[in-house]
Amino acid sequence: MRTPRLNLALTALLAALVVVPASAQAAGKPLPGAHISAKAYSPSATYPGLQHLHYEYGPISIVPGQNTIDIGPNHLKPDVPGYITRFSPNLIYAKNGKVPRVDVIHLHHGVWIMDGYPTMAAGEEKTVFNAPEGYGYHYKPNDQWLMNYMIHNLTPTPTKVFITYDIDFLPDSEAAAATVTPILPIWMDVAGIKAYPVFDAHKGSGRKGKYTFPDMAKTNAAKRAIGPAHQWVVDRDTTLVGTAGHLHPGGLYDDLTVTRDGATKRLFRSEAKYFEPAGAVSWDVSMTATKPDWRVALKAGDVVNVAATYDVSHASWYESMGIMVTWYAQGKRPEAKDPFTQGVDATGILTHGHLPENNNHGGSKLSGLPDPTSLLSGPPTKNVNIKDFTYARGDFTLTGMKGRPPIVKRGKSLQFTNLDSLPGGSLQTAKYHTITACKAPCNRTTGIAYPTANADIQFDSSELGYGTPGFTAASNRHVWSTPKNLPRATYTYFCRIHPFMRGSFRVK
Amino acid sequence: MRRALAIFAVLLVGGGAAAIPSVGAIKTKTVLIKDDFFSPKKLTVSKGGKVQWLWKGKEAHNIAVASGPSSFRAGKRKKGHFEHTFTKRGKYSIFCTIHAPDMHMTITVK
Repeated sequence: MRTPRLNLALTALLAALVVVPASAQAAGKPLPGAHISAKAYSPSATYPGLQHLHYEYGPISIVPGQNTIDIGPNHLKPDVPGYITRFSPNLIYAKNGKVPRVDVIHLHHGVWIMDGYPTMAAGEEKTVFNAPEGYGYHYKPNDQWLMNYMIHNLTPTPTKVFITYDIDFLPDSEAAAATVTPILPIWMDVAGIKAYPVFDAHKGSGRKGKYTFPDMAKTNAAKRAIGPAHQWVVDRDTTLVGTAGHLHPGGLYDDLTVTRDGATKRLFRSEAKYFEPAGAVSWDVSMTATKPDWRVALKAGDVVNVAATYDVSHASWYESMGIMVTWYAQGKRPEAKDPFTQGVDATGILTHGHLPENNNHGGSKLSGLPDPTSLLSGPPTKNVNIKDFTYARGDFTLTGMKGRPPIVKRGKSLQFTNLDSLPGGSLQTAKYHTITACKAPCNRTTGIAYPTANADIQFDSSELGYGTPGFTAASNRHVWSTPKNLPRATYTYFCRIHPFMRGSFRVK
Repeated sequence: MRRALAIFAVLLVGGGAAAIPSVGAIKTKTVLIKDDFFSPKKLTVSKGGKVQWLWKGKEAHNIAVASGPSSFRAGKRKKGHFEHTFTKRGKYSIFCTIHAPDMHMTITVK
């Protein structure tokens, strides 16, 4: 048992470690989403006979460095038919029921596939689903549920967790259920639907520091990432009743638009409100959802689109997402508004505020890590092995010759080999690593906001390692080489999956 | 064979040196490195005192001074030991950078 006194000491220590990375957010510039109230939250509908159900899926063993996607049958669901009117996801430690810090164990995503369709979903922003009063998702006990999840272990320490979800449930047997109109989800996804629907938002791309996907996808690789679910052609009279966006750090907003007869209107912008003092760089964010009175009347032939916009002014955001699960009722509801003749686009409302698991921001100079730009050079090197979460040459946690930046001859590249995930190796213990450029010296403390892919000369290896294609983040190779045209300098990099892993090399 | 050598060594040292261990205890203090914490987490030594870290966990850890009158680092490893003699008075904030911010200790040199 932890005594209150120790708790205080820990809080004080953490408070001392919370330091704003000075360079990330220009002084005086408001944080993204500053205009959104941090205290007003989307209301949850109440009904006589409404049940509050709590489920814990697991325990899930998270091996060191895990970054895999899993799927399994989920029998943790109500026993009787009825309406789900609220759904709130979370993650807890098996050992003590506490919510892990996001910089330690990270719920990359959880998707509750219900009756064959991705229905409820959570990212680390943990947005709560609230159906407006009078609407709900109808559930039947013979619906098959699957739990699809990706949980990152950012540390080399094994642990066990549960994915939790709290459901507000109104059984059909309650009189109030007769007043509820059923709604269904449409999964709007810029790069989906697939198990790992991602795109890259590169620093300096797009316009005025912002990159919108898929609208600004220019390269073939970027175009290939566009998913069919970014667009929905409506085939009958339909009423939209609610939506909220999902994005990753760096994300600013997800837009839902409709095009009819050549004209396009925005239906809703789900905005990221960053509590993160350094700006749009971490999971310390909450997304706006539509207000309870949002109703949009759509007609057959309307084309609904989703797009995600990221802040690419000071960093690249690899493997980013943009998803808006959008809820609709069939037919034109009496209160529904026409998006072209009546304004429907309004500022949304948060579903929760800052979460304490996002308190370790990182970015403190008091890290004890070396400044590789001032270290002596290591030996000339052609290959750096990665094993047990260590870059064999130039790793910040090594000392002596091994810790010095190895020399790479100008015009040559440095090869990296990930020995933590080799061809034919165990998928369960595979550890994916990246070599991602960060601005030198890149030696501040690790946290949710540091390090970032903020180097002026960018490179990224993608996730080296092996996994089921299309179902993991693995690039299915274990060797990668740096660009050959790097100018003379000391380069620093980190692993996006395990950001305590940092390394350097020197082009001479 | 190894055990025989060890016994021999003990006998060799044992004879005239009953006081040696206690002299050592004054000057050298030991910190155990476990998964994922230092034990003890707080330590006070005299100026000129020596601290020895012993790796006792299953995972790899390192040592780095985040703030203090002087700086030193011990590379990441799973086994072995590391020693440092403190020649400057003051407070040293020390991390394993792999398991920071939780894996932390302070050493006060008086």
